[in-house]
Amino acid sequence: MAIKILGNLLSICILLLSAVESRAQTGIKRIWGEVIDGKTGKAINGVNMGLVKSKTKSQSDGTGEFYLLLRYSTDTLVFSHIDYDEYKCPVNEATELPLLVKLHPSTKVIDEVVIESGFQSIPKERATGSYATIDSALWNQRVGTSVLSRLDGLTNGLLTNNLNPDNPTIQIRGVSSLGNESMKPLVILDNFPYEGDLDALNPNDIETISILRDAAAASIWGARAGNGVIVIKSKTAKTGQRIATNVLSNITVAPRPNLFTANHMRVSDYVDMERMLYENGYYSARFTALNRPSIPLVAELMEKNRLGDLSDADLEGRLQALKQEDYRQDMQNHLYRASRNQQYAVNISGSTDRLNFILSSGYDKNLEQLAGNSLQRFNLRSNNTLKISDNISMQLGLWMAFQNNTNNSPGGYGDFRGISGYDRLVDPLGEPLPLEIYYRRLFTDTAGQGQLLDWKYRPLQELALSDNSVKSKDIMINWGMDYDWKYGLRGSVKFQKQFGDRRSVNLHHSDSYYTRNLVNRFTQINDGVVNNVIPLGAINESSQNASSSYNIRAQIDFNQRFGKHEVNAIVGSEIRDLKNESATDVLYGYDQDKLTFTAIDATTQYASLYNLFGWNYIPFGVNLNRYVNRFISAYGNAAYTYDDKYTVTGSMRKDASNLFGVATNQKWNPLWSVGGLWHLSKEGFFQLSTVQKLSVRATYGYSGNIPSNATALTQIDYYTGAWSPVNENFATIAMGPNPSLRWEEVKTVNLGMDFSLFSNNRLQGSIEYYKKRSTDLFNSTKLDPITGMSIQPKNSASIDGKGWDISLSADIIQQEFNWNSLLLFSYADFKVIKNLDPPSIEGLATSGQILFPLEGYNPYLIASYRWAGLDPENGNPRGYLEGEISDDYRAMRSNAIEEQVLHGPSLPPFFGSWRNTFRWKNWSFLAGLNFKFGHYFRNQTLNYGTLFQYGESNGNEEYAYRWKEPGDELHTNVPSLVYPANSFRDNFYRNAEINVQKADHIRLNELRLQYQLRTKSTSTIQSLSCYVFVNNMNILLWKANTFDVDPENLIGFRRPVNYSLGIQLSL
Amino acid sequence: MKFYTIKLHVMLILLFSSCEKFLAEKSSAKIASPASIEDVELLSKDYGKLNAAYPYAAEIASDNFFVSDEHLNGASERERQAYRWEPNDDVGPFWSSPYRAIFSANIMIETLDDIETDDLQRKSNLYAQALFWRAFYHYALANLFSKPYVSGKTEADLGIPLKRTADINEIPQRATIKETYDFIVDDLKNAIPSLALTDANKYQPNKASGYGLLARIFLAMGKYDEAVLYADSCLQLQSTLIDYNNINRAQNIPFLARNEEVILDVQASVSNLLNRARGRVDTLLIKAYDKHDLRLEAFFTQNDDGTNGFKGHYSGASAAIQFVGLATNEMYLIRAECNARAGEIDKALADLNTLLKNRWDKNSFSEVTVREQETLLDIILLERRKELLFRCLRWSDLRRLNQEDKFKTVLYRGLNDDMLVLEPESIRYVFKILRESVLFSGIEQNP
Repeated sequence: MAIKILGNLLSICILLLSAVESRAQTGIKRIWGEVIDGKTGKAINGVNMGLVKSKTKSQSDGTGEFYLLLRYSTDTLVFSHIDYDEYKCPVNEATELPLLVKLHPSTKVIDEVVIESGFQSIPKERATGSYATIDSALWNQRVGTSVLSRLDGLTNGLLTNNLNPDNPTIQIRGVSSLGNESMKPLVILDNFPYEGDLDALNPNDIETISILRDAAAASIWGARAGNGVIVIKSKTAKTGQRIATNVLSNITVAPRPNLFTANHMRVSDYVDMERMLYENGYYSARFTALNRPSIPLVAELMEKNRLGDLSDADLEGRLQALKQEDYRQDMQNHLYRASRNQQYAVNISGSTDRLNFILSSGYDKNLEQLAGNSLQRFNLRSNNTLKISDNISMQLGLWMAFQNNTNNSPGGYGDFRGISGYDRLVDPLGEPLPLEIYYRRLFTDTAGQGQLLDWKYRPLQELALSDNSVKSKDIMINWGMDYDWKYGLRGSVKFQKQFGDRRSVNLHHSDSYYTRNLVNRFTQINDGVVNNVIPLGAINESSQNASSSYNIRAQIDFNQRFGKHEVNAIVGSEIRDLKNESATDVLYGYDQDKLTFTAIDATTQYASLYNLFGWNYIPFGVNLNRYVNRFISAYGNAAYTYDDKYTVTGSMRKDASNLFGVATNQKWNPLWSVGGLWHLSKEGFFQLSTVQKLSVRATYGYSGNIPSNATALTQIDYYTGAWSPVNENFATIAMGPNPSLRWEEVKTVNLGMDFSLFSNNRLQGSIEYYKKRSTDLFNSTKLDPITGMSIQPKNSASIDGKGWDISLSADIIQQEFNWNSLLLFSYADFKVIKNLDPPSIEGLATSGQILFPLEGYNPYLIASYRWAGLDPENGNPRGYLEGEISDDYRAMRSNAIEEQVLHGPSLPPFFGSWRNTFRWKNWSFLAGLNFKFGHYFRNQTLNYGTLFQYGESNGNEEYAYRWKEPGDELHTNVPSLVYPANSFRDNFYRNAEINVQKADHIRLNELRLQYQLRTKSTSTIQSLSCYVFVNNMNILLWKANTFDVDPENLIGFRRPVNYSLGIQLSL
Repeated sequence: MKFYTIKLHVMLILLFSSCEKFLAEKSSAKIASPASIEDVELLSKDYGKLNAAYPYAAEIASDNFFVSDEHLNGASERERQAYRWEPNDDVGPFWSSPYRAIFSANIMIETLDDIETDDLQRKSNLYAQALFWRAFYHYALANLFSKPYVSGKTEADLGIPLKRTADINEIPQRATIKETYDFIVDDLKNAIPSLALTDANKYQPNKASGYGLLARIFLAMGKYDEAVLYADSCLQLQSTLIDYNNINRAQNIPFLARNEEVILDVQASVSNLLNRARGRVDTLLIKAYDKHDLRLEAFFTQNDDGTNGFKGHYSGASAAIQFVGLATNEMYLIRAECNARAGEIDKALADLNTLLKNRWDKNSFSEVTVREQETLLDIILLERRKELLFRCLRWSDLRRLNQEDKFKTVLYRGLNDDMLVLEPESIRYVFKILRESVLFSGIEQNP
């Protein structure tokens, strides 16, 4: 294989050289000119042209310009383009240049959009299903490192679910599954499912992205398409394309974040609160606790004062001084930085008579806003199609991605549990200060009397002492062969092999806090003799994950037109094997240079130093895992079109997998779809001059989804004799077999209408309505005890969904000054209709952050306690118990669902974007808005319990506005401070209806200003554009809530705006 | 076109013919699926699921003991209702834990079906053990949740759902009583040939266990002619009795688990009411023991108020862990009763005296010599009560003997100055089925 690749690379180099050489020839006349649309006068990109005699071919570029070399004194130049009628013109040495060629739109096809399904390319004209495409123009409006982050708002029906900001997931047309993992859509890269890291993809290598939304579109992907499919098509060279080089570079910067924008408790309040806690004896247990827990400075000072070591005046002075301190400035200055993302990409593509090739590379370097965290990525890709003979072609591709993530930051705002508002991270000289959040400062000051390692934790120092990185390599090899037979038949075989290797190394240097702390904890001191159970030296935690997969597919295509009848069909089958192995390891006493380590005894329990933590084993996380997923599938689809007006389609796919049960694999139970399309505007009776195009579509069908972690097999656990009354090793059944385990099934009905109105297709758009029913969803189920199990995950739940996807694109002004407006609007509503293991609805109070599948409701329901105001006597929050005002928080936890306030979903049922592009001469300007309506959010609230326990990281500025005296209840809802804290009271307040509001908002998200330089075809530079892109603007143009917060940025500081500057050059 | 169709078919056939093997790969190495004979062996030693899953409801509802109102109020609702013979469909583990054991047995059976091994003896032995447990727990369920087997009378009535596979999607409806007992007896008869002749560990069923269980079941079915044969077969393999003269009867726990008399060790789960501090032994029953009967000391504790608790479990535990397995003393009594009923007076007397000799003070023991059939049967049945109390056997005896007019028994419980009565024909001799099963699967409920 490697030799083949080398051979290919070599041939590309030779081609490149020869191309350069041919340009250097002189003495032959250069024919050049511009191709424009005869109606609109717009330049046309991608027109193929050729000289009949000399067989020279070329293509017009983005500005409509072209050039060719005339080898004979007279010749005929032929222009062809899929959307335009063919045009011929004679040329000779005397032809006046530049040539201005006007092409007339062909009457046959006006829409050139081609949809990629991963199995075939379908002209949109013939597609009955619901597809959305993001073309390269739209795609390249955005700048960004990862593919997923660039998708949001570019297509309708697709929502990025940010409820868990650390793990955003993409939803296509709502929720069709009940697991966070099983909700993810299937991603296809070129021809095969891509299960690797999506962040490994080079976004500049992407040509188009097609979103398959309904059954007719997706069911060809069978049992894995239930959540929708995202088909990513990489750039390829087009036949007849001249050799072109594209160079791209951009830099994105975001200023250092402003931590003072976060919801933060006032430091003076914080000092007073700790004082109050001390006076109430909150810390007294900590002063005597065996494990020497951390004690805030305020409490230490108070204690010192109590013991008579600090005068009252000095105490007041010190406390007053502390009120002036604030760790946020230190943190902002030293743990954060301005982020800077650099991106470079180069690709060369072209074609000759026999070979189409592309060679592309990309390099990304991101310095993230947390100092110490960075990302580097290098991508390389080559894809070549070689025409071996007139009807045989071979394709060979190679794709590689190397990533290196470093995560050396000790953490940022909100990550330091136990920090006090007045703590500092650096002293005035800039030296790192210890943060006493793990042990009491008096303990770490003196522990061990010099026999131990320094026991202080200094976050800033850690930044330099950790070496935490994740390096990954992904390699993919594609090979394919096509054979064009007679009668429109074509056979193809495709093979793909993918390797992924992900190594994460967390090297704790010998001076790092992690190492020092662990060594100290396990130090054994006997009669003054110090014995380090944990070897001195670094600790190296590593894990390795290797994945490999292969796919083989054989397919037959049939495309034929008989008069007015056209048939397009494919049939094929594929097998797929995916393996994943992982291993973790820990090495102690590790020497990075000599690669030596020291063995430890992980099977003996050691007494911890001063018996801080009793007896412990040395942490030894060796863990091995292996997963194998296998699929065998057969599929087919067919479309029949009559007179270019009517199309009917059908598709079918059958999957068998080692995940499914025997019963499922044996049953011939394919997933299928049918669809119909009618081009109304092509009918003779259709006589509306304003309507250029009108077609209606309808589809019906099924697709599937595979629940994660599901297995059809019995699971048993092994135990040693110690667990048995008869002291014999034994095994017991942990989970029963489920031979009927099958994929989840999603049934979709989709109705669509595409239209194009007014002259020049001024207003184009589509309206789609769908209804979905997802059944057999994998969810835990109460079983009949006759089965021997009382609860087991099973195909058991159902969700109903329905919605609209509307897209409108209008050329509002079509002059030299051009204004295009694109509106994407989606509505997705869904609710659980069946759940055999319903969650308890007593005292139902949910935040909508996690799935809560309650029959009859949206699975992301937000529900609250009814609020009866603060008690005027004592500032207690109050609700209702059996209709009466009550502060019995414990009893209210059993309130019936009817007594609770059910707000609605935390995910927006209405969402979309509005993008306006203005062009004038070489300039273009884009403004993108996002909007989300109809959902709710629960605001962050003050929680006294966690505030007392974990300190400032759980603070909330609400503290200042708490109820203090009767009458306050008239202007505040923040409960009074009570000591000791009552977690039921805190929870009641957090889950009260007053903290939930509508999350509706309109956001100005991005701006882009671009200048594109058009050059003459004669110049080496084909086009040059420069742009400024502003992203992550977070400017709420409108919001429904009165809390004055951004419902998508509730926790922590305001995310900084990203500014990008880029340049793109085509040669 | 035709050529391609053929080629495609060939391709698909090639693909799918090898697909079974391709798809047989385990999806995760972490998911241990029982796949080897060693795995089944380990499953067969799952004492918690197989040996300690017996529902003790039958003992709660029987007349071996009574409790004070105060103790009754402290017990769980489930035990309280069983004690008061009230209809209750919240029977929880009484219904579910036998089915859990049956599930383990079915997993063992189905795993063995797929294992190819040269060690056929080991395989068939494990298979037989699984069949034994499946029968054992189906019988435990039949004893609680359906009417007793009465030849020619209840055979067509509702039995229990027979769980023949481990498939969690297969939920059987109730079989008839005849089908239920046929299934149980078939499993046991199929198991016996492959059960081990001897098994020292006493918690995995051996041949004697198989014969012993069949004897117990046929006795409960009133098929005395068959019961006597199987009791005899069992005693031929194991007949040891403990001479109570030779044990320390005053000990808090006089009997070890898996002692010489035990054929198969099975325990019921811990009951609150049956704890020796709460459950007081029926006073009339205590009075039935002769003062020279060593069981008085070996079986009973003395409470301050003059009542007695029971400590004679063969489970070797101080808590109320009832021994409900098979032991030789039960076999002697089965053989004696059947022989007495058949008029084999000598044989009956021999077994009765063999047992009693080991139970009485050897200095004051005199053999029973009554030869009058009815009287002898009465004596044997009384000895059965005195010997086999707190083994969940009294319930099936009551159900069986209530079919004979002369043995009909009315049970009484004094409660809060109230008197509860359980008539011999009461429908409360059949427990209600667990509510969940009725709700989930539409299993027909008992009245």
